Amino acid sequence: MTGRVFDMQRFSIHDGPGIRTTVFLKGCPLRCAWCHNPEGIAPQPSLSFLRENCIGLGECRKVCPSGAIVVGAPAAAGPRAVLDRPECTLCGKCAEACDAKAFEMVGRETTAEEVLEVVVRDRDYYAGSGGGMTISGGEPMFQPEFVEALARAAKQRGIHCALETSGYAEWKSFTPLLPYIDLYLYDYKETDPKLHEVFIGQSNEKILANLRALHGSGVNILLRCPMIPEYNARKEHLNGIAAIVRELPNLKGVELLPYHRLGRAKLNRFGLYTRVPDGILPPDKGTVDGWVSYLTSHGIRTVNQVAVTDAACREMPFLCGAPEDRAPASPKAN
Amino acid sequence: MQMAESLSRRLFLGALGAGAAAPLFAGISTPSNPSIGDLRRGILESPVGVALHRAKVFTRVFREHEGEPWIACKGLALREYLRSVPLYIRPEDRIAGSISETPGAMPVFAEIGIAENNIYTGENPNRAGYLRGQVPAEIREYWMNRSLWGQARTEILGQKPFRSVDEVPRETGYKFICNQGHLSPSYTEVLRVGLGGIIRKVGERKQAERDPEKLAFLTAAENAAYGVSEWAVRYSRFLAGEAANARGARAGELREMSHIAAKVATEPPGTFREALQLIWFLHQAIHIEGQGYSCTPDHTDQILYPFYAADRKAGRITDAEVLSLCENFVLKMYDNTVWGPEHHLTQGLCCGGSTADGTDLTNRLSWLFMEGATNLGLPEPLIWMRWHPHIDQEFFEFCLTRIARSTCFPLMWNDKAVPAGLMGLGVSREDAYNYIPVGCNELGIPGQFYFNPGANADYLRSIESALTSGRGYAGRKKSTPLAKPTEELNTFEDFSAAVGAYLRSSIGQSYQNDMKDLAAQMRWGQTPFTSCFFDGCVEKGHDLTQGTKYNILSCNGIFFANAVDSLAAIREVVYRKHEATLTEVAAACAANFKGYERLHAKLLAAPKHGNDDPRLDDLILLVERLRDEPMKEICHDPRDGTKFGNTHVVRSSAVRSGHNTPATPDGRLAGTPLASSVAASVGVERAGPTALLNSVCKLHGPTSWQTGYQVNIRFQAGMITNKVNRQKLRAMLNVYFQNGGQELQVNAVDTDMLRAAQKHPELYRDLVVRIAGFSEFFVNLSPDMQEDIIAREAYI
Repeated sequence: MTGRVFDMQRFSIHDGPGIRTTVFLKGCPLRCAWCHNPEGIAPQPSLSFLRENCIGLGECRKVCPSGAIVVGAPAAAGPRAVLDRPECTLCGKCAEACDAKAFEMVGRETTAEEVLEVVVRDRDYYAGSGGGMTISGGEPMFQPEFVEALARAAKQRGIHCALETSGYAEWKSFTPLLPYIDLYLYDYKETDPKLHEVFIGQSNEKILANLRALHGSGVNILLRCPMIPEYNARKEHLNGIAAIVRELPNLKGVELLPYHRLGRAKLNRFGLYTRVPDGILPPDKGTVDGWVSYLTSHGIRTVNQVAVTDAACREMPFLCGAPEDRAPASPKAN
Repeated sequence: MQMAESLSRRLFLGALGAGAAAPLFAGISTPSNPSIGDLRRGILESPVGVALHRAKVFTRVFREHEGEPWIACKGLALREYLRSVPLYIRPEDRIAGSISETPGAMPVFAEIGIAENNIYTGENPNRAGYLRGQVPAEIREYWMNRSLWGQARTEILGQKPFRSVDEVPRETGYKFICNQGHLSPSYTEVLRVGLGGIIRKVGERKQAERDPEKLAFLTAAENAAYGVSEWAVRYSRFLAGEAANARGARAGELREMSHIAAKVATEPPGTFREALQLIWFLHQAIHIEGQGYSCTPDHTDQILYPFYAADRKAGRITDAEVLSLCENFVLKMYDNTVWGPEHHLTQGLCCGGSTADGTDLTNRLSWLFMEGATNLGLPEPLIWMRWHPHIDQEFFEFCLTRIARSTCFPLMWNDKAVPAGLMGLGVSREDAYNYIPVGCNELGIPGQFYFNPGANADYLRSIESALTSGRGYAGRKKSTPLAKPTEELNTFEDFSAAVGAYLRSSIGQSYQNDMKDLAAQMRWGQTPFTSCFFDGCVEKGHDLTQGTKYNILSCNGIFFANAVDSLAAIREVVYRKHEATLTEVAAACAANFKGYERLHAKLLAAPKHGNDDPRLDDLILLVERLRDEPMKEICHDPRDGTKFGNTHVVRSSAVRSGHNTPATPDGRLAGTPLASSVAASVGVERAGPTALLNSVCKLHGPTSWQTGYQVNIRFQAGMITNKVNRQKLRAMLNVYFQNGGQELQVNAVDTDMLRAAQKHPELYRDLVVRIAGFSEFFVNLSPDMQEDIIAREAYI
């Protein structure tokens, strides 16, 4: 059993409780306008070309079977390679030949055991912080058997496992996971079904059905809501979030994910573009706090990084790590 | 002189900091009360300058007593200085005692090496030579062959005496610009018996002594101690006079300070204020005597606690007053030892820790000192805390919150790692748990062990020699080859054996040289007053350079991470993939990789230390072994045979040394910074902080790094200011220390640093920012993305 992983992020502190290693699985059936991991969309490996790393050795051109690479021409390119993506067949030969790591294939085939070998290196940090492994993507449920293999391998090693998912999958893919996933980080992207299709490219029907079914099965779910100005950052959507949380009382809370543009640093490498216009800026602190307090005033428990309070930490210690309670009490001076 | 007057210390705040580790210091000042704020302002606005009284008195006394033992002159000169130095007090100061006669001015340590040393006359761009030429030629001439350095040159190294001051080079090693540095005196005894008790003890010991050398030491110690006592009495009179001229509350304060000074001149202190004043007088006297480079005044929170507790019980003092006094103490440390970048004496203050049986020593004073020290937004003194498995996690949490405002303080040491290493060198368990950091990050034990380098292991030069049959990249060296010629090194084992042979020779040579320095220190670097606070010195009638309870010298292994990476690159490229020969690697380094771009890329692509890469585990062990085996064989203390400890101290030299170091086989370019930490070379860390810390934990601390290594880690300030993030950070650090990490410095990257990186990207190439799922070098981001990060910094 192998799967395709496009990245592993150690010391991941924004994808679930404690310190985590996030494993990013390749492939996604959705097309969110604001996607910040666009290299995770295609199911097959992607070719990353970081032109700044190129030192003009020209080995890539020699091995490219489809003539997709030019080095040193046109003149404006200087001594560096230029990649003609439409011609590229993603064979990966250039990446093998490139010593400067300007070309790299991202999204290699790997086994759950290989992934866990890296994941376990931070086991002490998971234990010390209430953390673990998070499976993310792309959309991890695009490779449901591999998710199961990863989650089972984590369970065998006593490592907490979270799944970050859009919920866009067949329900029958979720059922085998239930014994292994400790926490679902479930995306809730848009309330309005029509706008959902516009922003995300698919209907939200299946997503909502799966959310209700998961909730019914009694697992831990944290609702994660990307908040994108000019898209879903509207009062109606906040009301929609409040409504679904009221409907599903055992949700562990809501985390708002304010829009950021940092994923754009990666776009050029993959020849990709974003649909969010340049003029749309990340929300400022006041705006984010406003969303949080709006939800809070509607009785919704938010566990946002921004708004987390002492009280929230007490109520939900698993979000705050707080492992040191085990340390023996120290003799306090007067 | 005009130039000096135009410079105030405020100008230096941005440039100081804990050496290269914190290129920009932008601490936030929040003194606990307005008066401390005023004191801080006055100190920062003092013009920098040179105070000549010390040089004049020492020159006169040494001249008058020519022919008498050196140490006798030292004791007499110190006493004469303390009797005659003009006194002053700053308007808001609640503690008396200054290092020189002029506020903010540094004294001149003529007998140690002034006019010859780089502290005063160097051409470092940061220093701009602004103090050069201020010592009268007559004084410089008198000392050019008589100072510690002058005598060492002629008497020990057999060099010709200088004929004129113009021949004197501007720079010399730090060992020749101070007597003993990197030390922490023990104040437990003096707090119990008072300065008078110390004087009596020296006097009684002297009565029983007939040996002239020992008598000379004891007389010098007695003179010095009397001098300090007389100095305190002078302060008492001076303060009473100031009180008479003062108005309102200040008059009362000055009268109280006058009484305290009079009392602690001889008697044991009875209150917190008295004990703190006594420690300040001693700390300052130690600086005046021997420069006191890198001095930490014992465990202040521990030794002062009984006084604090008694005062609190009796209702004599409030916590607010104690906090203000702690701030005052820290400000005085800064005032009297910091004169600009690389013109500072690296003072330290340590809080917390545990006893040998694991009891947490953190007390209320640890909190107050930690709060006060980090309230002031100063890069010096260095503030430390000691972590241990039973640390009060609330205190640890408090310490972490302070990092954001002080940029990097407290620095952290681990009780689970340090004592084990010291015990391996023969230190008793109880003493080992009393360790204290001194200097940039060296280790000592108050009154029992001071840090002193006695050899060094030059890994990179040894690798260079192995790659070039001993000739060096430039091909200039003509030394006899110590290993097989490069072209015969057929396996990686052959190669590492050759590196080992050159390393052995470098350790041996540096040991020989450093033992000559030590011999010089033992003759012309004595500090009889300081010695009164080191175990056994008064009893045995000898200076601390002759030996104290533990005489542990250190072998300084420099740029460890570059060495591991260079070996990894050579193994990968030359021996595993056969993509180049050793000679080609050497030629590439010699050419700074010009014309060897492909090879350069391959070397850079090899595994790098700091990323938790199991492919390097055996190389870490290898470098440790290549250094430890010869070190254990060759290096031992000439006084009592104690084994050396190994250390890695490069806080301030990684950037400077990098300027003069050719390209290295790990792919590092010539002239660029070397690794300032054992964690990773500059800019190669890509797998995040847990991987970095795991890499550090692969080092064998207790057996290979007994006298300390250093680890820097950077986080955006939001990692510390945000409570949830901070708890994750604390959890991570608990694991790191639990797993045996010795030391850690967390640098908070704040908005100011990000702005500085935008302005000077070349200085911040390795600044990684981590946001939501991925990390990137900040300087590689587009300007609008950099702005996003700066904006986000405020609230992540």
